[in-house]
Amino acid sequence: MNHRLHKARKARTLAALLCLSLSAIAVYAQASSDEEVTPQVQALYAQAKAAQQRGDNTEAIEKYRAMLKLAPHLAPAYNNLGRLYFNERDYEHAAQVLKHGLELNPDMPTASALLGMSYHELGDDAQAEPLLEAAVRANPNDDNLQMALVRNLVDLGNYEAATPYLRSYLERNPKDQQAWYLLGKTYLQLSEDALGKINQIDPNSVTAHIVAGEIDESMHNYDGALVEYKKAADLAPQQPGTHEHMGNTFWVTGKWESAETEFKAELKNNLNNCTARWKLANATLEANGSTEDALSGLNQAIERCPKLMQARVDRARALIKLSRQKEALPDLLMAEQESPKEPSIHFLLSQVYKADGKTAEAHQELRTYADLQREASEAVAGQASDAISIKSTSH
Amino acid sequence: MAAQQGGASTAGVYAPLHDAENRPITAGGMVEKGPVVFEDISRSSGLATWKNIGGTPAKALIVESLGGGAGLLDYDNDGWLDIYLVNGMTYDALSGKAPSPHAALFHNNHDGTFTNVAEKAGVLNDRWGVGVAVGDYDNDGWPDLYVTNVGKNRLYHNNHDGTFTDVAEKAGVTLGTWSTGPTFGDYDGDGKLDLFVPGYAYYDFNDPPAAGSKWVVSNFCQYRGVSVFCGPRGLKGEHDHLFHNNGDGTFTDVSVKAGVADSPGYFGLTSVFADLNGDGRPELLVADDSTPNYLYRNKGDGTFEDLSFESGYAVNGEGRDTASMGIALGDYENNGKLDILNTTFSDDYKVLYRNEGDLSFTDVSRDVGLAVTTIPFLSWGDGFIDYDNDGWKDIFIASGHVYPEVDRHDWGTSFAERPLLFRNVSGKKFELVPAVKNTGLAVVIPARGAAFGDLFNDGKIDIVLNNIDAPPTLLRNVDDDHHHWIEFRLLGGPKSPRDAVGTTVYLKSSTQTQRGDVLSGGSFASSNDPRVHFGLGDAKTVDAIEIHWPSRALDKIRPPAVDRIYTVEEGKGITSELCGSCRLPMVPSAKPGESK
Repeated sequence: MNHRLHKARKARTLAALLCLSLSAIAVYAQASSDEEVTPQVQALYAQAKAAQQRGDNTEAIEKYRAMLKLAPHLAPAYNNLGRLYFNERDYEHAAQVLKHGLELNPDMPTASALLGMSYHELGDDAQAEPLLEAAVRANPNDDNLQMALVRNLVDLGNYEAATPYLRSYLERNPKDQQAWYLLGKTYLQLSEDALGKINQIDPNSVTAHIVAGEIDESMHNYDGALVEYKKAADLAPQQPGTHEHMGNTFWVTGKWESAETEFKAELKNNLNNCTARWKLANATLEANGSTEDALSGLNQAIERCPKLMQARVDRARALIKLSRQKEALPDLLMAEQESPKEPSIHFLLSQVYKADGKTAEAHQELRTYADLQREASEAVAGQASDAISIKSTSH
Repeated sequence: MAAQQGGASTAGVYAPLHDAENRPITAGGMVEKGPVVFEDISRSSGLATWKNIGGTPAKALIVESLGGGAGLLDYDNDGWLDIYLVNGMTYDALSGKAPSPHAALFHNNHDGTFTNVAEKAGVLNDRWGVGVAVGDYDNDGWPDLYVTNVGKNRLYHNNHDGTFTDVAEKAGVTLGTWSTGPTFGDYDGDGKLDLFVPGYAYYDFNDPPAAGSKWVVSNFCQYRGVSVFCGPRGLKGEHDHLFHNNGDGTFTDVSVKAGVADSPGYFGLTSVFADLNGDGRPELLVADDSTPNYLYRNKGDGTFEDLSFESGYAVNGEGRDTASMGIALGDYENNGKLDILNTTFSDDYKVLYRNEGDLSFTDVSRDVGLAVTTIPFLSWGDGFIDYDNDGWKDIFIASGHVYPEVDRHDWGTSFAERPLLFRNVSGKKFELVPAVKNTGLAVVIPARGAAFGDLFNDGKIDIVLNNIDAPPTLLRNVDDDHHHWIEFRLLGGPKSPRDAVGTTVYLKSSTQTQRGDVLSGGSFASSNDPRVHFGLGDAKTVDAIEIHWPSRALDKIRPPAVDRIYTVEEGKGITSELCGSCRLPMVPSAKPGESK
């Protein structure tokens, strides 16, 4: 009896040591394993631990395997061996031994988490999910576990479930770019799913064509976008937004007259659309149309939306064109505050100061403009050179 | 804000302008009656026997679009200007299946005709040529030629016997990239002409920059939604090169040290050395296609300061990069300062930068009436010439589009275009001289290089235009004015370049003061008459001539008569004169002692 008690105590101690060496979670061996903790088993454990300490995982794995032949019911040893396999990226063996260990003792959260992670690595995300969920529930602040679960959920296509975990992770790790990227991707997928629903409901609706047009536009397929927007405008010519979309595509591609036509149509539907009003005026200026007309449109846009800085810059442009430089100054100063690194604002400011006889200020603005333009030119040239060098070495 | 269309910077899109016959205004707008300023004597002069060729008429690749320059030089020192015309190339010639197109050297026969002596002279080039600069780099008194190519450039040394030898390899100035409009100038004041060569874009004939090519960064292969050749935007730009003349027939590339290497690789097309701030040292201008232009201040220590943006020359008055093709320099206000006229793409105005002094320039194109008329034209060679000898420098602009596709669309422009002549109204305004039918201003041609000079020694400035895929055009000045004039052929002394490049001449008559400069390069990839020409209006005398030599020496002379071409040697005064109307040959100087 004493002997048995002694052995049981030894087995518990070994089990505790095994677990502590892993994750400091106390796990007790099953009674059936008590018998198996022989001095030989203890010696093998010591050897495995020593091998692990000197970084020889192969030897440590061998020692654990030998140990488990002698003590096949010693659950924590499976846990340790599983971790070693996991670290060695031998996920198949890791899953095998961890599963076996958990069958002997299901109350090993670390083993459960490792098994989930192993399944995930093996591509079996469905099996991994409940295990990782359970592990995160047990350790809600464990970053590694939480990200493992997030990746598993994303791979399963369960973006909605992944989002709160990502948010909670990012609260603790706000500078993790990879996690932000994952969150962005998740939102993107959610938005794609939501937009897909629109198409499922009615692929020929105004909304469906606008969505299709926006997708084309985002891929710079402007011809495709125009086709979709035209369908939307034909279906709902008086619905605010339809002509704006068409106008915008013409505007982006420099087809000023068509852009003007569409923005005018948009403004008939929505008199208060500041962006359409500004872009209409901008298109007029770009098409070298009437500066006075453009100025009048810009005045209206700014009256309704005083924070629309692009409109203010264009108003300054128009005023300078009309030789009313002095009036352009307030707009430009406001725009400069918002975008101090926009070269064109400094160029326009230099013109205003020059016209006002403020030579020093004009020179200063011109210098700022020169510095910013040079920076921009060099960046563009550098990017072009990089792009060509990549393309010329690709096959 | 909006996406950039096509490969060239423009001011957006303008509504097409047609004439009464519904032709685009660039190819129409001729009038029945008016002053006859130029006569097209291309055929009778013999120039039309030669033709420039640039790849194929389809212009599927950018290399086919540039065309070539024209150079005026008196290569045989007979007192009459001869003409050098750069040629392009064909793909058959490139692959050895056909002979190369040749450059032309038209010898002036003194009777209104010219004879092509390029082969005998050894200046055929036989490479894909672009530009030419004339300069006596070895100060031997005979003009040499630097010819740029898509590939290795040539330095043709004048052998003094009507022939030239290409010494570019020995001189170290071949480069081998795509070079464009060069310029000679003595930037360091050592009395020897240095050489600046702008670079355009990287070009590989085995893998040309077509849509989808690895050499095209992004899709700049469309113009107004129509597929055209790619570039220059989206191509890799070439750097510029400044070669210092070592004085022993070799040159050293000092571009980086001098601060003019163009590290971003802008698309350089034309360059000129000229003293823009009156300090006696030449600044350097580079007209860049679809990228900012360069204005480098000569610091006087062998280096330059990049004042492109600060001076106002980098962009136009609207703050936009322009597709700058050509540079004309001239004092249009007669205030002693050189102003600059840059030619640009269609749908953009041509930019007149007024020199405010201290290397500050203002875009006055709209104020002087140049902007609106020039918008539909895609222009190249340009010059300030006093075509009517009234004492005010007028403006001539040569044009022609790069995309043949423009003729298939109603865009208000055309592949072949008529030249533009603007009359200077007292330095305040420029008025378009009407294109009278059947005169030189009514020719509709795909022009590129333009060179300006007094080809017939009659005191009137004539114009040679090198047209792409076509014979050249020779416009003889037949303006019916009876104004007086004077010209100076300048010879530098031991401390100046022998051909006096970099010399500034100020003329004072009873009514005005004018400035003229001896320059090499400019216009589009061309080189003008090295002699300085002044129109005098009705003035029959010249009060004083001040000659500021590159050596910083100053000569003051008082020419004894007008309507003559005087040869003036640094420190020696007038050494000879030519009076065409007197029907006399070169005669010795009347009073050499008058010079100071």
